[in-house]
Amino acid sequence: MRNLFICAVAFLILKTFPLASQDMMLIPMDLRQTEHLKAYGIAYMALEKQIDVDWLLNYRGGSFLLQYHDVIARECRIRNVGYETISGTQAAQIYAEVQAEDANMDVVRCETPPKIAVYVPPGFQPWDDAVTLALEYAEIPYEKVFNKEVLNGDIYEYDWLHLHHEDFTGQYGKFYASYSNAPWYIEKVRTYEQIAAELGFDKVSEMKLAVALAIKEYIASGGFVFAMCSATDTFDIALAAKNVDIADVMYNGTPPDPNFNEELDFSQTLVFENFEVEENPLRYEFSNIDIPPTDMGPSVPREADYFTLFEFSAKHDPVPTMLTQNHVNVISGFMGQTTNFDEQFIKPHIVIMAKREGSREVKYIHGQHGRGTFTFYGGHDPEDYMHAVGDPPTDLSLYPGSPGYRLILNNVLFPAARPKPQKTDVFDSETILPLFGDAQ
Amino acid sequence: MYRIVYYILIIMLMGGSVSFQLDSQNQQDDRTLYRMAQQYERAGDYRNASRLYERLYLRDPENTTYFDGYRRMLMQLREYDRAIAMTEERLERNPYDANLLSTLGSMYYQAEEREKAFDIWEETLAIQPRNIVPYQQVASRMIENRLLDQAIEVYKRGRENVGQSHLFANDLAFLYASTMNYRGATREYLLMLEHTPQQLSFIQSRMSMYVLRNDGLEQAIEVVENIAERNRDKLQFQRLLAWLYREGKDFEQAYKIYKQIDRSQNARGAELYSFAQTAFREREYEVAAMAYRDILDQYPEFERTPHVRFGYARCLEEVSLKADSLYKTVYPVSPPATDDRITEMRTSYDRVIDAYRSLVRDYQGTSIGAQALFRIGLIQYNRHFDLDGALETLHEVVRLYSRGDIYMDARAALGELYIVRGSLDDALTQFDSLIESQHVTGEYKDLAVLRRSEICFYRGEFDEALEELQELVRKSHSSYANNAIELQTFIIENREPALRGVRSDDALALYAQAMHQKRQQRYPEAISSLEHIVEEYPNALLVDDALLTIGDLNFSMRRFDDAISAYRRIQSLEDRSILRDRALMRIAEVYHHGTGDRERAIEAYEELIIEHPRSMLATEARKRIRLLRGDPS
Repeated sequence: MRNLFICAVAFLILKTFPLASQDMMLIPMDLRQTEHLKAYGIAYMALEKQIDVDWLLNYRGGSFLLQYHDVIARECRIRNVGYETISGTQAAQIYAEVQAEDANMDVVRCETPPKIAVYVPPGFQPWDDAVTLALEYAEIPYEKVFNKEVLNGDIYEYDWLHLHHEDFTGQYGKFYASYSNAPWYIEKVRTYEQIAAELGFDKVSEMKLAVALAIKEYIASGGFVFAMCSATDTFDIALAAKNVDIADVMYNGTPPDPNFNEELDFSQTLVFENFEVEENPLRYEFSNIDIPPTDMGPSVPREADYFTLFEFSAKHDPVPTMLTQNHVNVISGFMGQTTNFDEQFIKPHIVIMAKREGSREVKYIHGQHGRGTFTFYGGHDPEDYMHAVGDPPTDLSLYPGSPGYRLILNNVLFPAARPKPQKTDVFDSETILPLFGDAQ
Repeated sequence: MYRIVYYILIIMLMGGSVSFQLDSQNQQDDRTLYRMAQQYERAGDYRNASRLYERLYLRDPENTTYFDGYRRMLMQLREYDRAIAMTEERLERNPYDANLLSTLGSMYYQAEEREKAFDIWEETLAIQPRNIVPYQQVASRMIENRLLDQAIEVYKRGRENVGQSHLFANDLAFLYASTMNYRGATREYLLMLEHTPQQLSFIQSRMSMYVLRNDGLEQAIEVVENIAERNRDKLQFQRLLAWLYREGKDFEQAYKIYKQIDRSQNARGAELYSFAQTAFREREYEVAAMAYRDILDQYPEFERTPHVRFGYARCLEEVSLKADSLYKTVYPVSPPATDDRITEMRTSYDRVIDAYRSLVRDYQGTSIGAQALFRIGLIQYNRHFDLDGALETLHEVVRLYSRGDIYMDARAALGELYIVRGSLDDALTQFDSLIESQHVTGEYKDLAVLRRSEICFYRGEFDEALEELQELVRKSHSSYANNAIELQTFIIENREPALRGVRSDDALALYAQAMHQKRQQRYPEAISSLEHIVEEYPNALLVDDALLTIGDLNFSMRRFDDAISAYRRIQSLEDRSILRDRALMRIAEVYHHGTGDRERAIEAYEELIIEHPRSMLATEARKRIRLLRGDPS
């Protein structure tokens, strides 16, 4: 029976993966890799050239394995991405190791480069946002969309949508107290008001709510959304405040509804529930979802501010496994307008992928809505601990192996993957289980 | 009877006192309540704040502070009807209170009765159409409600009705800037400037908020150009325009304006001089030269003429330097002075030298004369490689000016010149005089020590060289410490091991000699010495250094094949050389900058990446490949 099982596995491997006599390229993603971030760009480039990429989950930090092509190898050298040329036999051994039943590893094949859109306002610069910085650095192409494209339904042309650190509550990031006279703030308010008027909205807050609802619909229809910093909690706050005004006079011309916190509708939100929206219009916080440093209790020095990635079963939970691929599992913390998410306000069905140990501070979460999925990542810039308005952009060439940035790029590549059906998937399990059933 | 009156008085006094105490107690209570209300309001607890403000208001309905507090809280709680009713009730008693009326308009606006709001604001403005206060009140309320365009219209009406052309200019400028109408904002600032020219600095600071943006600067220049053209007599407009040109780095246009200002103000060169100095600091040498020239031509009596003439000569020198094709050399070693291109270039410095010479003649004994003479010496050496001429000039500097930086610079330059000429004893004399002089600062002394050690090195006196360097290598703060460490390490690494107590440093001595020849720009002789090392001492550690220098010297003499051949020989040394990556980089550079063969340059850079992926040069090689491929940056 055991021999039969080995034969079956070998047959499957040979049938599934191209192990002809030609060489293969292994792009390791462990500590031997010289350019982790650019490695994602290489994988994306291979997909663009219709070369399949196998993502070896939990194998040497989530490595990539593909057929050897001169053009890819050359590009690896030019971009300083480390790779190893291995024989078909060596590749077969790797596949066997990764797919062994007792190993928490698996293979996910990526076949199509996802079409990426970034939701950003006009006049945006790539260095304003960690995701676009990562995409630029990894040389992964993307397009920009904003309110009009979202409301017109143009986002359905894209597989992956990133939400720039936007404020979906229509309070312009709650920068009023500190920056109401700053030219950039004035311009932002003016531009948003013009766009709202062009799109037929009386208030920016109304436009932002419509955009949030459209994005929610996009997810329900099968889209992938990735959000960071304030785009995470404000997205849910806007949805919860669908039927109530939470913005003060300086933001939308009218005072908020009295007792608006009692009117929030948490059935509308994707991730958070039972939170309270900040009532002070001048405080640079949106709600109690985020735990600002002042509320964290004994202050955590920067050197001790870490969050830990959770480990998932590669074979049973490939999605969170993909999203947490990294060469380390403890990552330096970083702040943002929304730094983290208070665990007590996260809905039970949401998958928590990283948090600060011994605290309620959740950093990285994933969930499903309808046919699509979303990932929220707290903080602004993984390599700039306290990013402030006007700070210079992060030079990623100084952080080529940034674990914090890797989490972003896992999400970019994730839609390219074709995950195997999960064990719990009733329909597909019928076709898979008998093979293993026999073996067992 | 008196007693009765006495008791009555006592009772009255006691009653008064009690009443006073009660009043005082009430006032104390009110103050406490008011503070609590404010705290609730600040904490965003409008419900409780409203309750307290209401109590205070009911106790003292005429108190404006309590009224405002209560009204504000009602508005926050969206109890518009109550807020409006109490305001209207108050208005019945003060129907012409523009502040209250404009606030009522704002309340209607927030209650989404917008037509009514605008009617009330119109009513407010109609109270006293020639008074500026209602316009300010209404515009402020509109701004609070983000009705910026409407606020602009109100200010404009106020200006017209009151009949003051520059009224509200500052407010309007701010509003225009807030709506990104930079033309409008600039027009308003110009109105302000017209009436109060002394506000130029204030206006510049306000305008700087939007002239940092390209579109802001363009619009501002367009408006100011137009107005300044029609008001040539108004100095403040001209100054503002010149400032805008400078902000946009258009120094030529700024220069034209300053010429006009200088003329119209009868400044007799003072304005032009100030501009020229600014332009020089900003490295706008051509424009600075024009300004200096203008002063010299038009105002020969200008009090700072020596500085103007020196500034002009410095500009000419910088312009010549910029035009010098060899200035931005891509070669690892400067091309030799015998290069034909040097001769072609020579004429371009003649005017500069003439300008300095006339300064030397006219201002002998002054710092301007000293600096001019020193600069002539530098040009003779650096640009013309006229060693004798430069020596003569610099000796003259030392003879005439025996103090200050210029003396130390001249002494150091003389030492350098003697090294290059091969008169090493004379060079030592110059450096010794720097070391021994009490007037010479530490950095110059460190330089002199370094140069002395180099001279020992060239002479093959390695023990002496190391002794000279001993102290300097420990001075980590010195600018010359790194050079000292480099030389010390090179000598120590390349000395042959002692054999029976006797050292044999022949290869190193030959290499030192070649390095001296290189410094003297005797490149063919240097190559010959280095080739001799490679042939005679093939196992010497410095063979790869010799080959690299052979390649570099051939490269700078545009003997590209010979250069590549030398660099390739380093590859054949395999593990014996740590310079293989650098040699590959040089090969790529020969193709890149020398022969202009793009494909082969890319190949060579790639070879470096493949062969030496961990080299410090790999990053630069990758960058250059992408540059040559035309990748987006």
